[in-house]
Amino acid sequence: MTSEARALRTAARPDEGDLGDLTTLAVQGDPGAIEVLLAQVRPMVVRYCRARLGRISGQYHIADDVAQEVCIAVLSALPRYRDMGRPFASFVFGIAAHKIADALRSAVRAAVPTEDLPDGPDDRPGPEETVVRYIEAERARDLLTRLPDHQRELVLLRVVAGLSAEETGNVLGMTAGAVRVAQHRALARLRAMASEESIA
Amino acid sequence: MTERSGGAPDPADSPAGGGDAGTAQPAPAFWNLAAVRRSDAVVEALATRRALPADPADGAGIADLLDPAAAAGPADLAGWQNDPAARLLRALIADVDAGAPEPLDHRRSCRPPEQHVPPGRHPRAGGPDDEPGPGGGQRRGSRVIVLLGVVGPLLTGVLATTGVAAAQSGLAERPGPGSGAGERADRGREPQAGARSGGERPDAAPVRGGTPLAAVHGTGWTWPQARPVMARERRDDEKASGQGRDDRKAPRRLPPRTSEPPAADPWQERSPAGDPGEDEPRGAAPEPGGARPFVRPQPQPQPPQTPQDQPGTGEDTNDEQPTDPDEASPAAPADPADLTGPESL
Repeated sequence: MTSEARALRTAARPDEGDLGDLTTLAVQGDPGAIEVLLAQVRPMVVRYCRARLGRISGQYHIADDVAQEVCIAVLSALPRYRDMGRPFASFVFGIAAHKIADALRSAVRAAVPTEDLPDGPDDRPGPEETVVRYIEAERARDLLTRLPDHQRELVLLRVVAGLSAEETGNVLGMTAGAVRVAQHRALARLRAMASEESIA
Repeated sequence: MTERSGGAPDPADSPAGGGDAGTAQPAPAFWNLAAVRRSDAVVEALATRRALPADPADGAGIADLLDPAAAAGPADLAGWQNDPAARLLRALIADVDAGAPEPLDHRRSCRPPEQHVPPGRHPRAGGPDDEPGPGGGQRRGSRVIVLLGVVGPLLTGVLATTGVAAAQSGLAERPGPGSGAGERADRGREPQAGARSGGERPDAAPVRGGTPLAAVHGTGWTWPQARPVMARERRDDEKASGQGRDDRKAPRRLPPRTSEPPAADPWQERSPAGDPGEDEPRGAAPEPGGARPFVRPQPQPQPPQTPQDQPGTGEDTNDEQPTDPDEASPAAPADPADLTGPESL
């Protein structure tokens, strides 16, 4: 790993500028920069795909596979990537959107992998907590599907994928201020829909 | 240029929201700024997986909080804990984050409060495929399967060296995990109780319903004495159950007869019964005078014939018993001395 990539990895808060620098190094073929870039991109992509695709038969295996495909596509496209004035995150999430659309169109339901029997005690949340969390998450997804597409994408990128307002604005082609206003309205709408369902 | 219809709104008059298509609600900016700021604080806390801000100073000023019109959400930030939208988004985040890879973003300095993390364990160690298993659970089953795969051939070798007669190993006629177990199961096998305890032989396919052979015939029986009995009993069983050649997947080898006295000839015992058919077991058939037994049973009862009289049965060897040409062992070498001439075909 070059010293530049190492410095970018230990940056206090990686923003679009750092990501752009990493992208430059990665396009040039720096293996360390590629590794750091993917390490930064992959968690966001995994969460985004999980939020968009949800669980299939109670598992995230489809979403994780799509996320892996996105990372592979990003890695494959790196040598051909050219900075056209758009942030690298928009490039990544554009690929993710296509892969997710392909997965949603696909009617194939792969076999659900099962966990191995644990050899030790299971410290994860109990079944009640897991079920409650699952139900709440499914309810959240249902409400998100009822939002306008633009607001839904914004909430997923901003909240689930964990992008900042600036990064989200870069991906969606908005300013940070517009992102904040839109997210406020999306929250208000979600709150109203959730209250209506609770009353109903 | 088309004329605008009467009911269509004038785009110059409609206040368009910031990228918010479909929302006809006008947004006065000056009093909503606090709410927007407060919502941004909440969203930022959710995005960085931090606890929702409880300090009103984190998201808005006191003056904004005193203005009820500014409350587009909960009046105090502590009320965000009970906000249904925030609660649902937190549940979605917790569900998505379970098993997901740890982000490198240093904005997320804290774990989400609802995520249960046992002491001494990393909450999201590994990749999204590592959802399970505190122990990182490797299956022990694979080791058991490997062990069985190793034990099987070992037992095969052990059993093969004891020289058990093929006629007694009706076991050899059944397909087993170690398919070669029955091939040499009759090689001068001596009765060894230790090696033939019922459950140790992978090819100890029972005569009746899974019962080991030793258990069926009792412990302590010896191969030579039990051979004709077992052969007959097995024939009866196979006839009764309809089993036959389908069970005899593995090639068989008859025991060597050089050291064994010619016992009761099962072929002679059987021959008066008529056509044994092709589904009869091929037991050890010692021929009178120590000649090699024939392989194919004849439709008519005949005395055991020498291989010269049998067309096409040129697979006898000095050490190996001939097998049924229908189920010929691929490894059985042909003895040129036993090959018949064309005139006998």
